[in-house]
Amino acid sequence: MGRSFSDLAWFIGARLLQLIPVLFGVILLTFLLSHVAVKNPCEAWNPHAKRNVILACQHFWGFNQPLPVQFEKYLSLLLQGNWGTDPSGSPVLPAILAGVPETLELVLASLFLMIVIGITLGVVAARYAGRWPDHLVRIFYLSGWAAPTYLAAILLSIVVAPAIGFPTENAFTYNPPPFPQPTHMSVLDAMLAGSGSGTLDALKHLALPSIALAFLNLGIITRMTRGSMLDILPLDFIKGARMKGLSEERVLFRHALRNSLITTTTVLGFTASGLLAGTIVVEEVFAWPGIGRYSFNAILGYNFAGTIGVVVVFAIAVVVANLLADIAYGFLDPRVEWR
Amino acid sequence: MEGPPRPSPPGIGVTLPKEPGLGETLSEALQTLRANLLTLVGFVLVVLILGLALLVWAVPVVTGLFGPALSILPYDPNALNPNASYLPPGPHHWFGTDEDGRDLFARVLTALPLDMGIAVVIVGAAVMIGGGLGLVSGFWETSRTARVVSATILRVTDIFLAFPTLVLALAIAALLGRDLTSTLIALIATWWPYYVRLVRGEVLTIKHQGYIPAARALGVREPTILFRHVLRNLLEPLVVYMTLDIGTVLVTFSTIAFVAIPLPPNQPEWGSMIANYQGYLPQFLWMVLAPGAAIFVSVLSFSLLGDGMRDVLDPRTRRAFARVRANLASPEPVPGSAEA
Repeated sequence: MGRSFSDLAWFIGARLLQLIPVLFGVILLTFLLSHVAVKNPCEAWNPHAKRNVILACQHFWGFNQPLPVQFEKYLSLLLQGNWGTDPSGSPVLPAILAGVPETLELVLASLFLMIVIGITLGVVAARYAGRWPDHLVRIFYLSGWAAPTYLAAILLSIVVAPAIGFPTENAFTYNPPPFPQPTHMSVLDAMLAGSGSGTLDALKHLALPSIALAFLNLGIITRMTRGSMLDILPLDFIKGARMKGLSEERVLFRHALRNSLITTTTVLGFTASGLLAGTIVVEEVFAWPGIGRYSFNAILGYNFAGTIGVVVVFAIAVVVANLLADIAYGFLDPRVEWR
Repeated sequence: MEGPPRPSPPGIGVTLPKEPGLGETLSEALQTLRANLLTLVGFVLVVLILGLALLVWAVPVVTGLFGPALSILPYDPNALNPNASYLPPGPHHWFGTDEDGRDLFARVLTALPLDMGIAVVIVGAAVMIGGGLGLVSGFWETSRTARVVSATILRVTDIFLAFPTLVLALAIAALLGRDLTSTLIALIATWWPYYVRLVRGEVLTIKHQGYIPAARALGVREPTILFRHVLRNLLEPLVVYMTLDIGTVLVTFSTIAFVAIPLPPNQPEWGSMIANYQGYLPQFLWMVLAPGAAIFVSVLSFSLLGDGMRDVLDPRTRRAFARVRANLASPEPVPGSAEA
């Protein structure tokens, strides 16, 4: 194993192969949960329906068949690309796919905030380790952790947004917006359409939800940057750079930070899970049309196919995020070999 | 190794190190706390919060045994008082009152033992289940069966770790029946996998330290090695992680209560209170801020304590910390440096 592109391809292939048993387990687990825990889904869907309606419903969905038969049927349809339908009969897959770019935009925006703010704060905290800037940074990032996402989200949407004149719902003020949406990422669409006011509108809509989402995970980035900077700052090459007479910012941000970023990158993968969980709450509060909101409605609406579908999408997202973090790690650290 | 330091056998110039006694451990813990002001603040707050929770819960129970149940709460948390509704925080109602004139301070305090108890129970259960499985999969690898068991544990753990805890917990709780019990079951069912990873990782590190093969060579039995040598070294990282985790559980539980499964209004709970009162924003901000601040302060206290303990207990960070301080304290850095 080495560092050539064929090694990288093997590495990615092997990791994606490992995804298969995990996905199977995830599907089996969610399927069992939804079909064992809920005694009679038809009654959950129509609480006041008559007996014969319930029976017809059970027959229609095949709930009266043995569980293994139901699972086999579900799985074979899934492998053919049919992810099933929600209780009202509309297919699940298009609805989930429609939410993916919207959620991706939200997550990327808050990832951007997390990285920029988190790394800066981490560098400052490490530079002044044990003194008041360090303490302030620690209080700040621990508050991000301590303030539940839903609290930050409702305070931002109900109290802060009206005060500063920011919109609180959806990705655009006009729905649908007056230009085509090829990517379904609001800011990107507006920029592609060359609409300045549209871009500003989209950014304003994106700002508060992405802040609410970023606040929670800011701490991890800050902590890791601070920790790895503390490891690197006492090393000789930093002293050397100082002795050369380089400015302190240059020493910190060019020499030290570049090396400490290697550690920070790895934790970015871990934050994926937390960010996705956060989207459920943030999208619900800000009426953001992504998968977080879809999964919330699917779970609470006894939409089994939808629930399994979003869980599968989330599992893939978490694994891919960790894979991307590993690849980035490999590119940043020349000693790493793909295996 | 028990008892006082043994004299070295003749011919071998080795003295076995004495194990630290209780006094030394305590004084070390005190030093840890004193090393960082914020950690000390966190510690004091955690003690206060837990003590208050205990008082709120225990005083009515204990006094109820001997006569009329007393309470340390200033008001009945569920007493409706239409004459005192929507009152802002003031000398009579410290946190204000809600739309039915219920005292928010009393309600926030009533919720304290419930939320804290739930967090402690869930973390405890997760440590028992996940820690046990992690110990097995990390330590027990002597036979073929053991390896199969370990591999199975790890695969199942991977499946649980592959998707966001909140999604799974929400799904389980929503499917099981949408009440407090189902939320508890859901959180325990989703919380253990982290501990498998944590404990297994630590066990694997400890196992390859010189003293484990040394103990084996001395003829120490396996269970003794496990409990005396492995488990004891595990405690430190485990306690740090659990401290931080109590905060995370608190947030996750209240999130589920907020978004999907609120408790009934006569059972105050922080997340459910925020869910009920958010309709009165932004005019009656205190209604949301009171339970919000309760969550915030509780989680922050546990985080401050855990984060600080981690910094001081982790020898790597501790050393680096000391070096940086020594390096930067004097003389002040190179000329031209910016004081950010």
